[in-house]
Amino acid sequence: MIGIDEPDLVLFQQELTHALSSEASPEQIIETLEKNPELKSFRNYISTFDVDMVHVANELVHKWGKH
Amino acid sequence: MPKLKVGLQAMPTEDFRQAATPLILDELVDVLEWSFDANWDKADHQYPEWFESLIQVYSDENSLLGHGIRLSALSAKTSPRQLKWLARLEHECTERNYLHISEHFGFFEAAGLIDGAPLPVPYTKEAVAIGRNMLSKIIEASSKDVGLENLALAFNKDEAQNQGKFLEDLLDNSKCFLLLDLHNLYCQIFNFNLNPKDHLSSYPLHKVRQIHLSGGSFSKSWSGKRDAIRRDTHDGPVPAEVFGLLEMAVTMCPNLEFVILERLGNTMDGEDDFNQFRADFEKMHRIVRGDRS
Repeated sequence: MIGIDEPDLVLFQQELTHALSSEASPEQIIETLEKNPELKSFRNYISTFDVDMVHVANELVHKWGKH
Repeated sequence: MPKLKVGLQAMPTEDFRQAATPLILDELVDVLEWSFDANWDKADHQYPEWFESLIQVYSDENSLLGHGIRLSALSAKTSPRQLKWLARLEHECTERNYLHISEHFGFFEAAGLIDGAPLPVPYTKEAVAIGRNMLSKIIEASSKDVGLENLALAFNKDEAQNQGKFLEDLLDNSKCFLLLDLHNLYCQIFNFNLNPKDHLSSYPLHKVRQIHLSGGSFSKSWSGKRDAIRRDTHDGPVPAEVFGLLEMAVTMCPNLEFVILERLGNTMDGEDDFNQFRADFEKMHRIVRGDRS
């Protein structure tokens, strides 16, 4: 088996891409992630997110993301 | 120091063919970079015959660089799709003669997303371990040295300023190198109001083997707190600020070997754009070869 599955980071990436795939505003995306109890260990990191950069990430996921 | 090689990112599109052919015929293009996995998700995809021939010529001349775009190198959970990518890379490297392989810092695969543009990853010990593990698998599959390209997007200023250190930790292997994309660096400099030389110096410049040069575009600031946001869209001419970074980088990266001009396919429309593309290449060529006139 290859890969190191790190449960917290796995969850963070899942919740981040899920939030960025939504139609929510960048402010709502940050708030949703900050309030997610499962992302407690990432709360400080999320609280530093720049709303303009979250908007860019949101656009990138909508433009290039494929399920 | 060996002569630096300059080249183009090859695109299988008519605008690239028209813009790049005079440069290739004049023997100015030392190397080609190719995103070998661009169409791996499309069954029975065929490239134009001229494009296949071009890639083969550079492969035969030991002048082809492989640049993956579909791995999602820093996804925390390794997926069956990524394992297939690695297996296909192993096969690809028996079919064509690549000087090295590169991929991108960041991740896009998670929560059912299987394709996209890379997103930032928090700089943690776990993320470094995951990235190093994936890099070792790419080295194993390709039997080549492997690079990672820096990312334009950062979720905050600190993240932009620490990406160089993160990359240095990830690339802690003699077979790993940094592919330094100067337009991505410029996006961070513009968007977070950073000093160009200081920001360039924050990256592990001794690990830089290859540089990317490209253009991009501006978009509106969502918050209204910035005049604009610089975006890594690869669809415009190379800005003067990026050429300025190149002038600094060629003197500050002691192990630099390749400098590549990138432009997304189907973004040039007619002779004016073709001439601009060639002018950008020639300016890049002059800077790299030390002729600033």
